[in-house]
Amino acid sequence: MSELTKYMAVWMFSVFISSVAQIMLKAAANREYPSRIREYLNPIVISAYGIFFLSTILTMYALKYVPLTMSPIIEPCSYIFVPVLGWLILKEKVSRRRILGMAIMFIGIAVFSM
Amino acid sequence: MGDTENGQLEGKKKGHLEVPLKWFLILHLSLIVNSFAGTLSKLAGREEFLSPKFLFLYGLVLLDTFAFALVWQQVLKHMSLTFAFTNKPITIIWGLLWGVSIFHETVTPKMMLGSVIILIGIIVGVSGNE
Repeated sequence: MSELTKYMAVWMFSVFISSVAQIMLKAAANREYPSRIREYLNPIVISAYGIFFLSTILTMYALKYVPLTMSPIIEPCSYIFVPVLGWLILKEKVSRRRILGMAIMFIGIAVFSM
Repeated sequence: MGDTENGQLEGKKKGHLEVPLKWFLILHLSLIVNSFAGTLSKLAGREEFLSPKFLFLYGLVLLDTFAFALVWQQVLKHMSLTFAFTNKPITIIWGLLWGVSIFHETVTPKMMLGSVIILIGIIVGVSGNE
């Protein structure tokens, strides 16, 4: 595995864990809490923001070796990870129409970044 | 919670929005707030590191991120994560607008075309989940 591939994998992992953190935020939002402040100050939300923080560190580390021009390729992967994880873990319905919309957006992001 | 369920049913039936309009608008306001973070980061990056202006702008970045986090958690109570995330690429277009209006950045025809395709994707993705 080349050095570039290794650091790209780190970046991809960083995008993946921040997608997992989004799932955790949604899982927390689905629960009932005794007060508004507890909606934020609970182990799930705090852990999710801890993961976001770790993700920024990993991205910065990867960016030392991977050119920023790779960003339009790696960052949009969250638009795949989040619906797949939402479907698998949260059992959210992902219709064909939504998949089509996301596919169109992917093409748009690719054209935008060319 | 009731209005969300009704909204979701309505969206499924008619092929329209699956969330109440109010929360759809709040989602988009939060995404506009989210798009400011990149602009503020760029403004901070142009200042001397740790200068008062840098610290002020970086403080605004943190404040903006914090404000977004507060609203995002409320938004997620009223819609599926997949629905919210389908709308997120709109921040690319907001970023483009701020880039042009504040930093006078050049917009290429590909960026314009890409933005239009992204918008079409969002409209297709959010208009009903049947």
